[in-house]
Amino acid sequence: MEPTNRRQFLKRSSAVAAAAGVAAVVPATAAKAIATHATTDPAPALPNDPSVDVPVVAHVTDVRKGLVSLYTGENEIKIKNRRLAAELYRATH
Amino acid sequence: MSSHREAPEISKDPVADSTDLYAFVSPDAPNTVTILANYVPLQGPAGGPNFYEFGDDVLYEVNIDNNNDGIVDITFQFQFNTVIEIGGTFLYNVGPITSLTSNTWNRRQFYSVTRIDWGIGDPHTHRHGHHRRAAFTQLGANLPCPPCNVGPRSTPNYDALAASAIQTLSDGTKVFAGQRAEGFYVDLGSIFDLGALRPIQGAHLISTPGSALAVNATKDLNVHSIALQIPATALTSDGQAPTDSKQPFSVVGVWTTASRQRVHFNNDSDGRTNPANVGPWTQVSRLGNPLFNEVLVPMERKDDWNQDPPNNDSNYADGVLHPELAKLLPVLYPGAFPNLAALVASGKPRADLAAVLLTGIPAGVVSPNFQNFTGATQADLLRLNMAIPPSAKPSNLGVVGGDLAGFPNGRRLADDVVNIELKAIAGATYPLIDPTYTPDAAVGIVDQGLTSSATDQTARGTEHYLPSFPYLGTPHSGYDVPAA
Repeated sequence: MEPTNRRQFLKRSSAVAAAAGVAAVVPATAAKAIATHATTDPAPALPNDPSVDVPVVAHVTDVRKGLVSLYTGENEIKIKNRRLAAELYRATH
Repeated sequence: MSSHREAPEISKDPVADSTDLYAFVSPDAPNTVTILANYVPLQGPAGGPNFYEFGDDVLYEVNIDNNNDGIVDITFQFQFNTVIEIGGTFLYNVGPITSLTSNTWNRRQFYSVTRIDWGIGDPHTHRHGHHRRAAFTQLGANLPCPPCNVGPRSTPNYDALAASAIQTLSDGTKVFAGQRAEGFYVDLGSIFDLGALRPIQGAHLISTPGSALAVNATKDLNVHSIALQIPATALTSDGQAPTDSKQPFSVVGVWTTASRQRVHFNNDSDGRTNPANVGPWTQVSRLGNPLFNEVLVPMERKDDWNQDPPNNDSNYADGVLHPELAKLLPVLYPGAFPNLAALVASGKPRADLAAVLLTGIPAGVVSPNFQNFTGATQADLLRLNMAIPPSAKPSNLGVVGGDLAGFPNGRRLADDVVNIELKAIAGATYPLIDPTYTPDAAVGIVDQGLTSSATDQTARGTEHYLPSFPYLGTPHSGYDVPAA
């Protein structure tokens, strides 16, 4: 278990973690709903980095406050993003 | 048992279940300390074809506090990797395994050892929230475990085969990880049948005609052990050899943990699901003193205890200061423990047990040159004063039996920790803090009955201990145990 440089990790992974996490943990129908929504809002550019293929799991810990925990590798990244949390909630309800 | 299946959640997760921890000055190498950390309890030796192994998805750690604050200063991390060497067969092996590189051996396990020195190196966040520097040193990688002891056809000459798996790491530490015979002895079936002790069961509240001959419930079982033999100078905070038993830093506190990653899921890929794990390592098992979580923590809090760091153990101190078992003994054995009953009724806290289990014993309490005190922080640590030499005539009652090299000064294989803790809870150690207290006469005969005397070093069913590292005996063979 190597020490984690959180800043480097965030720079490399967090921008894509949410999108990958949704694909990893929600059913296909919900993923489709998110994909449909995303067409009205251009997705952030993805780095051309094969490491984004590692599993990423998103856990909405408080949808009202927009708190989402992202798990990948040996890390947990806690973010506050009300829009993301709301979209994940909507996709699964 | 000592810590086998001692909490509801970990009882369902055997590969992460810490079962016993031993720490002692090595009798045949007294400038070293041996630490044995056992996992995967209650292995039936014949349990093939998927014989027992460590968990590839578990992080095993041996933790050391060497400056008396209950917080980790050194960690030895173990991570395992299992490989299928042959494939196309359901068998563990397709012929005799005569060496650690035999091409007849299908399912093998390897491991790495990493030492973490906390307080130096790069900034790091410990899983319990400490923001500290940490220096990581990989001491060994791709180290082979021996196979399980399948039987005379599959694993002939097992002693030599297992001995070849003893490695010496880059810092001089010896290491072994693999199957061993269970070393802990306990009359489990009797003790958990409402606290019955077979030698005195006639005095029990519910008298039965059952056998009065004690039964070692673990005598035919195996366990998986992580064994370390570490130069004492690699454990002290100043790198000096511990030679003065009165010096605080001659004492180390030891505990083991097992951790799993926060998220486990079945990853769907190409129509197949494979287990996947992501997220930070989260502690799921912990062990310091034997029987602490098992006997002193209420069932509804045991899972929490397994997740906590030891320096939080003041949260569990009430179970030590007012142990449930001390209340039960006078009820279960009517009339046998009047002084204990009076002590319980007085509500006085058991400061003797708190010293033994939570802070260590201060200097002068037992003898002028003995202490294993680690300060006021209440923490369940197995405390070892490394300056106390091995005993020439060990007592399985350890310090209670006048042998300062035994439990609760560390713990050796033969120490009868069940008897020691039963006697202590029954009042044997209370005079250490209140000389006016007289233990009940029954304390002298509180005995689970598996040893013939205090000098018995081979309790019934433990005749297999080895005289040298890794000390735990050759695992029972699947072919031979259980016998017809």
